[in-house]
Parts: sequence; C-alpha cells; structure tokens
Amino acid sequence: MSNHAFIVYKKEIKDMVRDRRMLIAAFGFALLMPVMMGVLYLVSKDSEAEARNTMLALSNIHQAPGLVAFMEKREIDVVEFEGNIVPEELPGKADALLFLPDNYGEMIKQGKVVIGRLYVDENTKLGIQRGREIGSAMDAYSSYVAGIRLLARGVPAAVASPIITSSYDLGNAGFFRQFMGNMILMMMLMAPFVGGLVVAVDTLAGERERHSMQPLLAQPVTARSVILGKLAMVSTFSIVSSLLSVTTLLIAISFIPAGTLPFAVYVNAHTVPLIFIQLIPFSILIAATQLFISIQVKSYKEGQSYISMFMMVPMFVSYLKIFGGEKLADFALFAPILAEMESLGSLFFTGEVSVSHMTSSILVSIIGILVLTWFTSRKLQSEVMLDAA
Amino acid sequence: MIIVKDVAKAYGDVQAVKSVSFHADDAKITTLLGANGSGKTTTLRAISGLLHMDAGSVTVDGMIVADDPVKAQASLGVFPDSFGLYTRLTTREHLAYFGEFHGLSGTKLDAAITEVDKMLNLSEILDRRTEGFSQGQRMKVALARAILHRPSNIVLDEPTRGLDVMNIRLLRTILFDLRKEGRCVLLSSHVMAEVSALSDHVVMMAEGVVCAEGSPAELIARAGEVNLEEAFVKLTGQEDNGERKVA
Repeated sequence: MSNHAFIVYKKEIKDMVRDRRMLIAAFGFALLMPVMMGVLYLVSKDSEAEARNTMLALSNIHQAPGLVAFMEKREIDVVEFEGNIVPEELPGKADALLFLPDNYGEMIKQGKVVIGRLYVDENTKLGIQRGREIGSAMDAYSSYVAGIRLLARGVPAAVASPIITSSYDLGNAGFFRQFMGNMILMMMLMAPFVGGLVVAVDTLAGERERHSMQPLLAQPVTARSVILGKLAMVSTFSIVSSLLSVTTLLIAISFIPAGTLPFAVYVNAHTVPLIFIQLIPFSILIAATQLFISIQVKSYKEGQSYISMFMMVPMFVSYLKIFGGEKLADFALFAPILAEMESLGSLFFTGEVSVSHMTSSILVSIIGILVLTWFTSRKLQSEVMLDAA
Repeated sequence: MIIVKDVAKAYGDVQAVKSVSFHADDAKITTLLGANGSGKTTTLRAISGLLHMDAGSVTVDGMIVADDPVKAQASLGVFPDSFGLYTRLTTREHLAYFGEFHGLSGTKLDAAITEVDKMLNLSEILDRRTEGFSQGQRMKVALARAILHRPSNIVLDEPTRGLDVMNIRLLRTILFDLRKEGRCVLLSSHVMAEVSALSDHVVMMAEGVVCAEGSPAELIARAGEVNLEEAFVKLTGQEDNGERKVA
C-alpha cells in the first residue's frame, strides 16, 4: 500500500471506529450469528420428541392385543384413543392415530379384510419420519397376520411374502443435516457483506454527501491511493466480521455436547488457517464490490438501498444451493459464493481441502478485486464526484 | 503564480466556461468577480486539478495542471466552495490528515499546526471534534487545512459566505498576511465590498467569459462609474434583472 493510501486508511479507520452505530452494524451480526443459529437449530431439532419412542394412538385397542404387542416389539408405544370422531390434530404426544372398526376382533378371527384409517401429521420433518415408521409397521403386521392365516390353511407363509426388504439410510447427510450445514456456511459468507455495508456507504456516498470529497481530491493524492486506502478500511471491517463470525461459531459449537449436532465439524489447527485464507480474499472482494456500488450513488440513503439489495445475492445463492444443489451443474459450483460454500463446507464438515473450489474461489476473488478497484478508481476521477445529491 | 489560458468547460449542453484567460500573480490578491453561474467555481476547480477541461490550459508555478495534476496540487492550497469537514475528527486530526498528504509528519507537522493555530487562533477548537462547529469555526478549520503546508498559491472559492463581520475581518487579515509573504492568493466572490477591500487585481466574469480585468480603481475609472458595483454592471453588460445585454 502506498504511503498516501496508508494515510487514507488510518484516517478512515479512526473516523469509522468512532461511530458506535457503525461498529454495532458491522460486528453485531458476527456476534449474534451463533445465537441465531442456535435458535434455528433448536426450532428445527424437535429434541424432546426425538428423545422418546414413536407413539401410536389406537381406537378399539382392547380388540387388538396382537397389534399392540407387535408394535411394542418394534419400540412403538401404543395408547388408547376413545371415540370415533377424527380430531383436528393428533391426540397428546401421538405421532399417528389409527382407527380400527368396532368389530375388528371379530373380523380378524373370521379372516376377513379389515380396513383401518391411519392419520398422520406431515407438517414437520419428524412427523413425516414417524408417520412413515408406523405405516411401515402396519404393513409388516398385515404381512404377519397374512402369514399366520396361510399357515393355518397349510400354506407356507413365504408364499405370501416372496420378497422381504429391509431399509437402511445410507445418506451421508439427511436434508436436515444439509440444511443446517448450508445455513452455517451462508451465515459465515453473509458476515463480510454485513461487516462492510455501512462503512462502504459512508466512505464514498457519505463523503460525497458531506462535501468532503472535493477538499480530499484537491490534495496531491491519486484517485487510486484514495480508493486503495478506503478499500483497505472496508476490507478490515469485512475481514474482522468474517473471522469473528467463524470464531464465535466455533466457540458456540464447542459448548454443544458431542453427538447433539446433526453434523460433524472437523475444525482443527490445520483447517482453521485454511478457512481464514479462504475467507480473506472473499471478504476483500465483497468490500471492493460494495465500494463499487457506493461510488455510483450520490447520497448515503441511495447507497444504503443499493448495498442492502446486494445483500440478497448471498442469500439467494445459498438458498439455491440448499434447495437446488442437486440440480446445479458441476461448473456452477465454481461460481462466486457457491465455490466458497463448497470449499468451506469441505473444510468445515469433512476436514478436507477442496483444492479446485478453493483455488477457483481465491482466483476469482483476486481478479474481481483488481477489476472492481480499477473501475472505482476511474469513477473517482470523474468530475461528477464533486457534486453531492 | 497561476496562469489561466483560454480555458473552456461544458457540462453536457451547458457551456459553463467559454473562454477564460487571466494571470494571478505572486504577492497579489486576485479576485474572480461574477454573478452566480458566471463560471467562477468551474474555473477554480480547473485550477485545482479537479476538472478535465475541454480546451485551454492552467499553469501553476510553471506546471501544467492537466499534465500532472498531483504535482500541481502540491503547490496549491484549496479552500473549496463547501468546507467538507469530517465531523468525527478533531481539528488537529483534520490538519494532520491533510498535512500528511503534503509530506508533513512528526515535528514538522506539529510545528505547522502550531503556526496555523497562532495565525487563526484555533486553540479552543484544536482538540474538539468538528461536529457542531459554528460557521466561523468551520471556516477556520477549512482555511487552516488550505494553508497548513504553506503553499505558494492559495485558491479560495467564496470564502466569506455565511461568515459574520468578525470572521470576515479575520479572514481578510490572514489573506493580507499571505500576500505579504509573497503568496499568490486567488479567490472568487460576488460581494462587491469584500472585493474592493481585498483585491489587488479583479477579473470580472459573466456567462463564462472574462469581461474586464484590472485593479478595482482601474476598473472603476475605465467604466466611468463611482464604485465597483456600478463598474461591474457596466463592464459585464449586466441588466438589473441579471440578464446580459447583447452588444
């Protein structure tokens, strides 16, 4: 950094850190992020429900001792449901409600087909899982009863069940795990956006609005030095915000008992520096982009509007990865933000370096910084900068 | 010394300066006198290296501004049309910031700040943040910023606007001191009394051209009028409604 750029940098840092609102705006997100993630996790986790067995509410329970025993063998608790009217929601802590006909016992004895009605609640991820568990247990019980009926008639049970399939979840991460993991990555990548937002607007659009740009440009200092100094200041805020968010997140995770999280975090002395190396150029790129936007506008308010809109970019891209990641082409994962998510995700959740994503992310960041800084410096030389809104 | 030769500048379809030429000599106070919109500020911005001119040239101490604006700016002290202070910095921090661009640091910087403090009586506001400063205090900081590095040329765009009598008197004294030190002082104004009291050389401008120049006494004599105001009206061909008479 040239001497003049360093002079600008020192002044800008001093100027910005004296504004308490700017500090809160810049670093509040990074400090509150673990709390937000914690709330999100707790809301999604259904921890109390997960700690107990699946529960089935059953009408005419006294006519179905065999079904009750079968379910309990599968660690599904069965409770009695009185009445024949379908309630608006599942009773008590039940995960499903099964209506059996009033003559269930008689029909089973006579070998007739019984039609039961199973009610589940698929509003939550847990509701879907447990509803399916009970549905599949019912299918299994039906096969079991069919087998007994066939045996009573001298036919081997295997005739009615030529294929028996057991299901196992081989997925590395279920949707919940992926969702939570990607949310953490999104929050980490949002930090430089939030960290640089206010200071980037203030340092160019604000300076122009306060009419202090003209005396500055009348000094023997090049536009490039001014922009480099300002970029260094905004980058400082973005980088600190980024690193702070990672640090607070890791501290928060360290307090969570092992095995409680839906994913494993591989962070150690080897991966932390790599995470920082990944985040620093990205943070500078975001700072350069915010300055590029800030120099296009005449007033602080206008700048705030546009840079706030820019905040939607990481959110949109992250949601694209969360909800449509499977459909994205491989090359799309090298695009800015997606490449950072891939690389950080690999470091964070597997402890491995995704060399291709990390390299492309750093290269794209460096090229972006150079191009945007060049355009911003060029714009600062324009005489329109002398006039405020 | 500042030499302006055939400078022209348009903003889109508006020709702000058509053709302006004049000299501002060392050890003299030169004033650009003109109505609002006559091209004074554009001319001063061109001198300060803030504008790209469409035609003509500006020379500051022999350096062509368009060729190397940064080098020329090192010889200039600029008091722009707005004070443009940083409200979260103190007066001392303002002076240090701008002084460093001119190579001042350490004891040299301290000495320069002490000197402008003495000159402008800044002691009360030197270590105060500029937020809430009065117009007079803001003027003092902006002027101190412009002269801190002892430039050989000082450019002031309407420096007395919004100032009370005492601050105008203080400003006048400082400008006389700078002249005495042999510096070239170039300012713009449309306040006749101020121009009469301050100027050694007056450049009258209207609609982006120089209409007349000379000492206030010469201009009054040339116009055959009794004061500078009447001489200005006559020499610039201005009507009382501000329109210019076409010959």
